[in-house]
Amino acid sequence: MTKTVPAAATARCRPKIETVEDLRCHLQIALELEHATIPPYLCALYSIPDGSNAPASALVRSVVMEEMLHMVLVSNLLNAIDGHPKLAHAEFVPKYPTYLPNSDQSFLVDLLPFSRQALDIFLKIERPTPADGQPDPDHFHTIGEFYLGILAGFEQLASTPDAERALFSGAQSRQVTGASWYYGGGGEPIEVHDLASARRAIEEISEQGEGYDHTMWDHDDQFGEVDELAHYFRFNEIRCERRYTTTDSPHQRPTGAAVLVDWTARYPMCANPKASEFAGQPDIHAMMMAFNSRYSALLRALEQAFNGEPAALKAAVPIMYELKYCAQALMAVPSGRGDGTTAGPSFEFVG
Amino acid sequence: MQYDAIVVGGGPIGAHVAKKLGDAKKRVLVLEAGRAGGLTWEGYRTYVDSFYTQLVKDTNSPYPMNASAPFPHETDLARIAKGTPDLTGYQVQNGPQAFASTYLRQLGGTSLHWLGTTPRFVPHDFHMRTKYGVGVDWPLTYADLEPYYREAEFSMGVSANRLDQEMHGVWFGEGYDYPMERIPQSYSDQVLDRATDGLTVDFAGRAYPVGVSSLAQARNSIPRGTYRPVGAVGNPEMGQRCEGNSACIPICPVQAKYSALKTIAACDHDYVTVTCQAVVSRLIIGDSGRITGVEYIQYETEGGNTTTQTVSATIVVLAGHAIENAKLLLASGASNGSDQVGRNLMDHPFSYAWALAPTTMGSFRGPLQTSGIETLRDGDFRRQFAAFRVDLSNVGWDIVNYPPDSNVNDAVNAGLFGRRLRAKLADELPRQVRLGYDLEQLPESRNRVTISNEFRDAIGCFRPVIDYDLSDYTWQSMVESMKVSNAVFERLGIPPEGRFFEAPNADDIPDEENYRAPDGKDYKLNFIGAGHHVGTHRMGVNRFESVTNRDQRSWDHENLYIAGCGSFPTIGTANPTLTAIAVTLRSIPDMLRQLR
Amino acid sequence: MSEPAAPVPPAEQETSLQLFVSLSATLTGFARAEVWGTGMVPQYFAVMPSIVGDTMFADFLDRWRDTYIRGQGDDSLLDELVLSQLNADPTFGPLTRNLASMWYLGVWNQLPGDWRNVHGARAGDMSHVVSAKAFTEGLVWKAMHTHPKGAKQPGFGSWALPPHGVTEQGRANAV
Repeated sequence: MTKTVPAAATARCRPKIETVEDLRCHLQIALELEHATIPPYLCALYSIPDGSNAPASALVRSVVMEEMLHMVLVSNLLNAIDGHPKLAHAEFVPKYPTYLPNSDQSFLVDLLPFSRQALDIFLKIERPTPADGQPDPDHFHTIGEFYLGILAGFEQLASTPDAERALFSGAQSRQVTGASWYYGGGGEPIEVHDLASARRAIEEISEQGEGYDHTMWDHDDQFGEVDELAHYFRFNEIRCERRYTTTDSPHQRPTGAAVLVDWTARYPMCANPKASEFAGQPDIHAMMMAFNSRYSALLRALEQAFNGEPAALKAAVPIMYELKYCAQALMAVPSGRGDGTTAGPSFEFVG
Repeated sequence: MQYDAIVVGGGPIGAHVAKKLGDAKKRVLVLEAGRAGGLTWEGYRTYVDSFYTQLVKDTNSPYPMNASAPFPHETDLARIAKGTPDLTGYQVQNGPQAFASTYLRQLGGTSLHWLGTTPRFVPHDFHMRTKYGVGVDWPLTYADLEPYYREAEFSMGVSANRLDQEMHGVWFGEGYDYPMERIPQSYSDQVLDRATDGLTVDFAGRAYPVGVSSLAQARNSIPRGTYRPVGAVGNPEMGQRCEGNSACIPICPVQAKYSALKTIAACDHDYVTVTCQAVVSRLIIGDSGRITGVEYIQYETEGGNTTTQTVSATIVVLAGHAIENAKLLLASGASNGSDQVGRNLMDHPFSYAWALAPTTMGSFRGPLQTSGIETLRDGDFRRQFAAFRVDLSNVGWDIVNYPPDSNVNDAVNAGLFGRRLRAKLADELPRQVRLGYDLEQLPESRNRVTISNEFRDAIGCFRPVIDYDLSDYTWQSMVESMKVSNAVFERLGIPPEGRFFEAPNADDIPDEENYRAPDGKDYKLNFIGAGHHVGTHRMGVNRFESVTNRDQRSWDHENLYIAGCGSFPTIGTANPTLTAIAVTLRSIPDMLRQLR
Repeated sequence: MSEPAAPVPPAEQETSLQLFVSLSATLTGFARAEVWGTGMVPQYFAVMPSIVGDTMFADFLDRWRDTYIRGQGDDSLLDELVLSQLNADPTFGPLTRNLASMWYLGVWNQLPGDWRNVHGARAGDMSHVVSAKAFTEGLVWKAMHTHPKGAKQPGFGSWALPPHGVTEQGRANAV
C-alpha cells in the first residue's frame, strides 16, 4: 500500500478556546472528528459478508451506532451555543489516508477492509486517555484530551450564571431529542441547554468512546442499559480474539472467552479507493459515483436535521441502508489493480 | 410440581395469559406443541435463512415441518372434488369448499407469520342479531372491551393515530392514543387515496364512501411519550422500527412486527415455565367435572420417540388456536354440553381483483399493507350481505400469481433477455395493483371441525376434519365488492378489459357451482383464506348455545378456560388477533379469582 | 447498461470466467461490474457446470465466445445473434434462459424434459433456490428498483417516498 502523506492540516480554528467563536469552531472540528472515524469503521463493517464474523461485525456495528450518536450530541452542543453545524461540503470529508483533525498527527487513518491492520488503526483512534491526561483541543494525542479541552472551554465561558445564560443562547428547537428519530443502538440523544447538560453530553461521548484508561466499562445507567465496554476495549476484544472479563484490568490483554474471528472472511477491498482512479473502468466508476452521490445526500440530510429540522433524520436512515448495499456491491467487484483486491466506497463529497 | 395454571399453547393468547398470571405471581406451565426455535436471535435467523431458500415462500415456509406437531401449509390446499375428501395435508377437507387458511404450531404460534394488522372491532360487530337480524350477539359490548383493547395495543405495540381509527362508532378512552405513531402510508396508498377522493358506491340503495385510511398495525414506528418500542428477542436494538422488509408474512426478519415471542420473553420466568415439544393430547375430567389433569406427549426429535406424561393445576387455559382447541375438547369429550364445540367455524373468505395501473404505483415497497378501505365495514347492507375490509397490497399482485418469479419466467420463456428483459420488468412490476376483500361470514352450524379415529397424525393425535361452505350472505358480498374494484380501477384510469377478478384457477369451477346473484347473473367465484379462524368454541350467555361464558370459562368445567379467536360468536370484519387478546385480558381477573 | 470499459479484454482473449461474466451481463442487461457486485459470480460459475456438466458448460461458453466476437461493438447485432445462436438453439437455448432466470431470481429451473432426454438428467438439475444469497442478490429486485423480499431492508418510511422515476413534481401528476 502506498501512503501519500497529506500536508499538515491547516489550523482552522484559533488555538485555545477563549471566546464563544473559538468554542463553536472547535465543536465544528469535533463534528468533523467524530465523522472522520465513521468511513473507516464502515469499510471494515461492510467488508464482512453477511453471516460471517458475527461477533466482530456486531462489535464494530455497535461502535458505529455510537459514533453516529456522538455526531448528534456534538451538534446539540454546537446548537446550544447558537452555532451552525456544517456537514454538506467537501472540506467536511477527510481525504483518506488522513490525520484526525486537530490531532498530534501521530498516525494516519486509512480506509481498509476488516483486518488486523484496520483494527490497529481503530485502537489508535480510540486510545484511552491516561488518568493524568491534559485538555488539548488543538494537538490532541487522545480524543479524550480533545474533549477535555472542549469541556474546559465550556466551563471557562460559563463560569458565572450570567455567562452561562449568555453562552447557551441557542434555540431549543434545534436540539435533536428523544426517541423520535434516533434509534437502533447507541442510546438516546441528550438535550443540551446548560453547562450541566453539556457536561453530560461530553461525558457520554468520552465514556462510550475512547474511555479513560482507568475505566473500561461505560457505566450508563441513564437508560437502564447494561454496562458496555468503551470502544477501545471493544476493538481490542476483536484484535485479541478474546473477551474482557469484569475483573480484567484495562492495562492487560483480555482474558475471557474466545471471540471467533476469521480474518479471511471479508471482501478484499483495496486501500483508500478514489473514484478518479477508476475513470478507465466506467462500470465501476459509475457505482462509486452512485455511492458518493448518496453519501453526499446523507450529509445534506444530516446538515438539515442538525439545523432546526430534526425530522430530516427520517430521510437519513434509508440513505444509510442504500450506502451499505452500494458499498457491499463495490467490494465484490475486482478492482483491476491485479492484486486480488476489490473496489470499495471512496466516501467523497460530490456537490 | 403443582402449578396454579396450565396454559396450552405458546402463541399470542397463551403468552398473554402466562405473562399476566406470572406477573400476579402465579405458577404457570405453558405447554407448547412445537419447538422454541425463535427465542434466540440466532435461532430466529435460521427461520429467515430458510425462508430465503424456499422455492415457494408461503405462510409457513420459514418454519421447519414437524411430524410430531404438524400444521397446514398453503401448498396442501386444492379444490375439493364433490364427495371426495382431500387428504393431502394435515387437515382432512370434506368440503364442499376448501378451508384455505393456515396456522402454525411453534413457540410464538401463528403470530410468527401473521401480517400484524390490528383494527378494533366496530361496536355493531358485537350486536349483529339485534342490529341487523343476522348471526348472533356477543355476550360483550365494545364498551366492555375498550379498556382491554388499550392494554392489548400497548402490550403488542400498535402503531396508529387515534383520529384515523375513529370510524363506524369506534371510540377511545379519555386522552388515549396508540403507543406509536401510524406507520407511514405507502406511495401506492397515496395514489389510491387521491384517486378515490369523493368516490362512493351504491350498496342496497345507499351511497357509501370508498376512502383510503391508515391501518393500525402491530409493528414498530415512532414512539409517543415514554413508550419505547420492543425490538427483537435476544437482540433488542434490531427491529426498533419497521424497516420495510416487505416480508411481514411469512416472517419479519428484524422482529419489528409483534410476535408472541416478545411476550414470552417478557414473562417473569421465576413463575412461568415454558415446556416445548409437548403436545397436549387429552384433558382429564374428574367426577366433579373439574379438569384434574392434562395429558401430554413429549417428543425429543420431530417424528421421534415419545413419552406420555400428566400434569395438573388449579386452572387449565386452552390457548392452542381455534382449530386445535376444538380438536382437543372433542378428543377429551370435554365442554360440549351445547354440541357447539367445533361448530360455527368462520374465516374471512378473501377474494381479490387486480390490474396494471397506467403509471407506477411504486409497488413492492414497504410492509405488505399500510392502508385499507375501511368505509364498508359497517352499514345497513349487512342485513343482506357481508361487510368487508379492503386490503390494499403494497406488493403488487402477490398471491394472484406470485410475482416477480412468474414475471421473470414468463418473460424469459418468451425469449426476452438483456436490456429488454430488464426494461419490461422495471416497467410492469411497479404498476401492479391488487385489492383484496376480507369478507364477513356468518356463524353456521354446518361449518365445523370434527375428529375421527380414521385420521390421526404420527404421534396418534387427531387430525382436524373440516366441513366448510359459504352462504349467499358472503357470496353476494363478493359480487358486490366488484363495484368497489371497478370504481377504484376506473379512477386509476384502467379500462374494463384491464381489470381481473376471478382467481387464476376459476376455470376449474364447474358451471353447476356458479353463484347466481340477485341480479340474475351467474358468477364463477373463488377465494382463499385469510387465516382468521374463529368461532369453534364460542362465548355466549347460556350453556345451551355456547361453549363458554363471557370470561371464556367453560360452562361444563369450572376450572377450564377456552381462549382465543375460537371464542368469537361472530367474525366482524377486523383481523381477529387484537380482539382475541383483548377478550383474553378481560378474562384474566376471573382466572385470578379462582387462584386466590 | 453501460458498455464494457477499456480494460476489458477483447472477446478473443477472455478467460472462461470472463466469458461467463460477459455472457451474464448481456443476458441480464446489467453492466459487468453490477454482475460482479452481486457477489454471485463465483457461485454461479461453479453451479452451472456442476448441474449441466463441464463439457456442456465449456461448449456453451464457446458458443457465446463465437457469438460475442461476431457481435462485439454493435448492440442490436449482438442481440440478434444471441437470439439466433443461443436462445433458438435446442441445446443452448434452455441453458441461456436458465442462466438469465438464475441471475434474476437466484433459482435454477429444472431443464425441460426434451433437453434432459437428449443430454441426460443429472441429480443437481432440480428446481431450487441456489442459496440464500442467490435469492437476496436476485437482479429482478434491482431491475424493479426495490429490495429483495425479506432482505436489504430500505429503512423506516422509505415506502412513502416517490418511487423510481417519479419526481416530487411528477407526483402531483401521477394520477
